[in-house]
Amino acid sequence: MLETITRISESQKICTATKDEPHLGKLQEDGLLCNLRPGEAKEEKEKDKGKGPTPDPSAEFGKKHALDVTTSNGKYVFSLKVNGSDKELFKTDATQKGLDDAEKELAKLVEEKQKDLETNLKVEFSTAGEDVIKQWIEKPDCTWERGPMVKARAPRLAELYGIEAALNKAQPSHLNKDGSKGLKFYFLTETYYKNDPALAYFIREDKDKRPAIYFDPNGTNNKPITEADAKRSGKNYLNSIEALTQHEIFHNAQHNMGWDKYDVKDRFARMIGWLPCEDPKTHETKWIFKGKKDDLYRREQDNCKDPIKWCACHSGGELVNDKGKEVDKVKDAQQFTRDAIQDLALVRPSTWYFVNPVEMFAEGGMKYRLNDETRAELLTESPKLYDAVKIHDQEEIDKYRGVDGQARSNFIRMPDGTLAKNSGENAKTVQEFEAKVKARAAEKEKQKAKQAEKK
Amino acid sequence: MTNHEINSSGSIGNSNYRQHWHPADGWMGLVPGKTSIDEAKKKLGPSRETEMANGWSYAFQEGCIRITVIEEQPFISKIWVSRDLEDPRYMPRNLEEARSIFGPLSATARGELSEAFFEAPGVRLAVLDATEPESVLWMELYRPEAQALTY
Repeated sequence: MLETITRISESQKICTATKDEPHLGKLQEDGLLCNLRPGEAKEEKEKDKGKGPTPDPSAEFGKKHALDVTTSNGKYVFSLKVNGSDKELFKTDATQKGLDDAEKELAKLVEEKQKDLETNLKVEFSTAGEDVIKQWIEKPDCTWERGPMVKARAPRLAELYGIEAALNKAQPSHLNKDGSKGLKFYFLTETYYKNDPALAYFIREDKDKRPAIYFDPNGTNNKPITEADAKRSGKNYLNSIEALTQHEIFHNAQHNMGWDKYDVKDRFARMIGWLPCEDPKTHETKWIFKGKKDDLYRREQDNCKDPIKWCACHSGGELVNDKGKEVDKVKDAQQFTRDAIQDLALVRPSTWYFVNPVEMFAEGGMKYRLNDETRAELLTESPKLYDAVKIHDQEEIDKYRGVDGQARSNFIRMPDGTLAKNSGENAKTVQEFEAKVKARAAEKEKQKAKQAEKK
Repeated sequence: MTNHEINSSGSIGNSNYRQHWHPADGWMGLVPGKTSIDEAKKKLGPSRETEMANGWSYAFQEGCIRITVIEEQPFISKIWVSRDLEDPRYMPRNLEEARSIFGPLSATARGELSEAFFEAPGVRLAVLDATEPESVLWMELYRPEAQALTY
């Protein structure tokens, strides 16, 4: 019997919408992260149209494998922009045979990198043609049905480097609950939801009951490999393969720490300004976002094809209009942009992606772990979110790495995101980092206040 | 888990004349829309109370069971049960078992981390869709609005 889904939660998706795809328009309007920055969509489409002379086979090779291929002195030079620099991988003759040899060389590098991660971190990667999940297909009436099996492909080298960078800062969240296995990374050849692409999904249990991450087919396309590469290119901040993976791995941290149990999720959600309410009609648990002045907001849509909007609401989740009167429809409710909600929020989200407490927390976790700059930014711009993430992170570290006889943590997370022994020196480094960031933030606020006074 | 086993164990509950569970059957003798929170506490033991935006949530047995009371009503509104509950007699392990208990279920929505929601009047299940049969992550039981005055 085919089961149908009538509504899909927007919350887990990070869109790959472009302006030319109207069925994804609602995601674009909602301002969800897009694979391409505004304006880039058209450029990419033009490139793909194949205007001009026959495509260069080496360029095609580079595109297929997400590598840079240049020609120099009769040789193809294959390289990656990774970890902030250009890494030359190998060279072959600038011929078709050279490209065939390159396939073999590349396969060796992929295999080596994959084995290294599998051995050292217990993670696993999908193989070409492997079954992943039955696709969900949306019907015109907004219901869904299970479709054909989605198959996986093997990872690309760029993806392995990005995942490696994330894993280096994500420990112990790369492990399953009992620590026996690591995450499995799948690279889907079709989208999880047909006609509803995203970048990636965290999955509590794959077909083998293992925690996993599914990358949708274009999830890693055109992305810098690490944040260092994003910085170098001057664009796609927090949109690297590393950042995307770090976010998804943080969902495994939430899973490991028991967010499936309501009271755990409730505890952390409250710390970051969210309150549960129960819809009196449907009895679904909905999450309300608190404003600075006891004002309340939540996301809703009137129909599954409509964009989801932030609306003012009462404590039972009832939508209200600009006069505070309860209304039934989103179209009649007082609506707010995402930017406005970010400013109104009691606990400021650290990025634009805060559709519910799970995602807002994961974004905070990502920034906490990525590097010292993003961690400083999180502490400066959203100190309450920083504190909540720090507590969660340390509890998870203690769960996997233990505490000593005096209940002191054996390991702590350094400002660069790596784990280190909880020595006096390391603890002092973290304290000094936080103190410096807070002092800088306080000084900035002081200057801002002075400027405001002058006006 | 068959209907007979459910009946004799007195767990999910099933009226003898009905093929499937009905909201009036409740769970472990607790019926949303009818049982008071004090009665629930007597049955389930110590709880941790937290305030919601429009009511109270009571977590029992290390958070594996949660009961809500909303809008100052004198009865419990919803019972939520996690698959982490030690005794697996008290909730279906997978979608097949769930259908044998609750009857036909419609897939209605997706959750925050890709779980699928399946529903019938008075019951909602979060299901993990990668395994066959699909595993039930949690279930919640409530009195559907249409039956508010009937029991």
